[in-house]
Amino acid sequence: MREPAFSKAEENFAKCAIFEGNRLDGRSYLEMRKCSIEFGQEFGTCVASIGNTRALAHVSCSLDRPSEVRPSEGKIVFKVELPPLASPSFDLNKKSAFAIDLNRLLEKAIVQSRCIDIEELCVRAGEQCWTLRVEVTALNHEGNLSDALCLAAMGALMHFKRPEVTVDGHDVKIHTADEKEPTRLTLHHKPFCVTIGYIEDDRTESDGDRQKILVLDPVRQEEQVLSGIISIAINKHREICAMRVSGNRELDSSQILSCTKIAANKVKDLQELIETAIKKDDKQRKKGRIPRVNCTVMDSYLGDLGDISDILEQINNIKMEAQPEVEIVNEVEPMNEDEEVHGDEEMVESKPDVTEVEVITPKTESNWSETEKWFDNSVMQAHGDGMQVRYDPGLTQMRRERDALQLELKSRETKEKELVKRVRRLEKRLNDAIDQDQIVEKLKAQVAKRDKRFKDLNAYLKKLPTMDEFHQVTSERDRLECENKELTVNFREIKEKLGPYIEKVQTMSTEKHQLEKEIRDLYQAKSELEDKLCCTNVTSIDNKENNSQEILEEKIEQQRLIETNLMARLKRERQERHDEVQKYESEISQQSKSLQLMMDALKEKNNEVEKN
Amino acid sequence: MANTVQLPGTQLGLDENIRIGPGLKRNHYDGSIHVTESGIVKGMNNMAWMEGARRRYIPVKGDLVLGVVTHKHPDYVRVDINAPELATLSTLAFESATKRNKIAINLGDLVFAKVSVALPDLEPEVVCCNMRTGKADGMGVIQPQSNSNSIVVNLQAARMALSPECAFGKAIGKHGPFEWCIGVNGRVLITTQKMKMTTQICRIFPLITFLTNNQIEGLVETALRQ
Repeated sequence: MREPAFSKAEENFAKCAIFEGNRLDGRSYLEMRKCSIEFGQEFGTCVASIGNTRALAHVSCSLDRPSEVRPSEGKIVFKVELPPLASPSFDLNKKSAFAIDLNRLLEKAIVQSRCIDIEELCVRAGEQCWTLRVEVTALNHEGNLSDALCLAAMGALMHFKRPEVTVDGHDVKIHTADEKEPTRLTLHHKPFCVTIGYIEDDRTESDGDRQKILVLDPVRQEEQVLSGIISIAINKHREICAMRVSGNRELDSSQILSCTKIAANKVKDLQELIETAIKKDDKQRKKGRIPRVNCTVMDSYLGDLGDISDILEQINNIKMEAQPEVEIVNEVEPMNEDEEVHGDEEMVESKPDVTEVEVITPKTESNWSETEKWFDNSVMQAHGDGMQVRYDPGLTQMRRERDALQLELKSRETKEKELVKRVRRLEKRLNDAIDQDQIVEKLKAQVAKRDKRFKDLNAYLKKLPTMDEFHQVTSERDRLECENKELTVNFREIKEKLGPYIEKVQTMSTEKHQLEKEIRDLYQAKSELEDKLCCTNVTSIDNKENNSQEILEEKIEQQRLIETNLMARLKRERQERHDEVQKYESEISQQSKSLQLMMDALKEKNNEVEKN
Repeated sequence: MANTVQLPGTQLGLDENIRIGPGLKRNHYDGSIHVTESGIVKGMNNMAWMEGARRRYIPVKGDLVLGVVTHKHPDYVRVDINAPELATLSTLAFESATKRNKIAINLGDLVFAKVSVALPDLEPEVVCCNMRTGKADGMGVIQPQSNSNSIVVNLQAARMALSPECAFGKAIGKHGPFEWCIGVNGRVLITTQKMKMTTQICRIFPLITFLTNNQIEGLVETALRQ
């Protein structure tokens, strides 16, 4: 698997953000994310989270033979695991350099710094000692994993309680929780790891002596961009337990010193955090509430998921089923077969002196732990590794009864819940019924309104004309339209006929004008001739007079005849024309009158049709 | 049935003719429909799907995705689109790209592309242009800008931000100009004029998955108040 790829945009943005002092989550340069510690049910389990980075540490102990070189010291086994759960680039089988690096850093910080008192872990010198197993697992990697792992490991070590042991000659007796309270480990000092990243400010042009910006607790996106990381494991007394510097740019000594100062300041807060958490945990346990690590979803604002009560119930059921029995069991690991411990080891299943409030475990076939199976069997076998066990029937019977009673309690409670649910359901139904009545009333009112409207519509429909009437009216209208068309056609024909008459009238009037003109001309000519006559009469009274006079008189008579003929003709023509014009005008007037009548008729009929 | 929270494994009693979307799977022997992704069952018309906070993208042909170039080869480039496999992007699948005239594309570049091949047993393939017309249609290498950051959110948040009904974009727009490029695979690129605004938007983007419009507006208001 691989990480989601890191783009240049993210790189540039992360760098610019750091250079300008706005880190990606709004923190200042030397501000750490919110750290929190949670403890589990067993002593020695701790989940530490820095922001979204989470780590789980678990400390357990077992009796073992000490090493021959150091016979009076206990042993510590330290293991760091980076499962694929934490990040897609982690592989369970491959030993990546990163994992080895972390392992070494933490081992140096915790084991090699001798923070745990090893000599206290010795039970019998050379024979038996406690082996502490510290297993740290990364749960989520969102930057600064080393800090979270170290915090979890230290929390687990500070929280862990190992059983008390009394040595009586050759007998070693491991006390159970109610015989003797288990003791916490003695820690000489408490080292915590603080990681500071640094980035070279490459906005400046000069190559040497670029300023390095220190960034405490880098996030994932910032880690990709940093020029280097320095992790310092330091304790409250300002003693450096381990240090690791990695990256591709150097830090000079003054910068490293300033980093250690920063780290020393932070360590106080971390230690306080764990100590307050442990005190709180102790208080809770005294009250009887055994803590569980909460299945918290990582810092996300879930908002409105609606009704998830049934899902929560399912989750609760799953949690209940997964609960192991609350019993302090002696986790005695198989010992060497040479040594037999003749102990009167009673496998007493003992409850702590505390009333249990929450845990009721049904007897299910859970594969949770080997020890539970022991209690299921009615026959206690002698353990293969030499530890003998005595079986007490009375106790088991009492235990059986107790379990039966608890089961009954639980079943009664579930029944109660069911009944409560039923009651609620019925109440809901009642309310729904009441609502339904209201709805029915509303609907009835609406129905009444609709009926009224229906009646009104019916009355209106009756007033309207029927289909037959409608057809009649339309047929009448069609007929009238046809008549209209015919009349218009007739009108046009008449117009056409009148056309030539009008033209004729016009031509005749023009001819009339011409004739009148001729008459005037003739009159003028006549007058001229008369003048000429007078002149001739006056001038020539000689031989020519008689001839010329006769000729002239003849001429005059001729002309007079012509004139009278013309006049008569003119008068005749005039009269004819007058008659014709009158005739035509009368015709026109008649036809126009008829047209008018027709138009009026049409208009009336159109109006009638429209009304219908 | 609709709008209830379901866990994977639950069998839904839906009609067999219903079209199923992401988060549901049909048993081909039975015809029964099972939930594979925890979340809220949603249904509309004849379709049903799950809305959950899933982050892993399963490529579907035709989706517009925003990917990051991880490997560069002479003829093609490998792009990470948050899918189980890296996708291949041919260097010729760009507008006006020929063998002589190639697009400048480098490691770490952001590419807005369309999934062209997405079969269950094959590596997905993406292209940066419309293969029929040869036009870019808005796809291609996204040039680097200042104040732009890219984050990976869950698919539901990306889909919501793309939807016109969600008030997220409008609420941000009230506080200033911004530009975002949302890939259906969950990768989002956000650019604004101020670095702080970009940072804040990147912080609240994954949180809008299960919020209603009113809550989103309130969230944006508190986050971008300056």
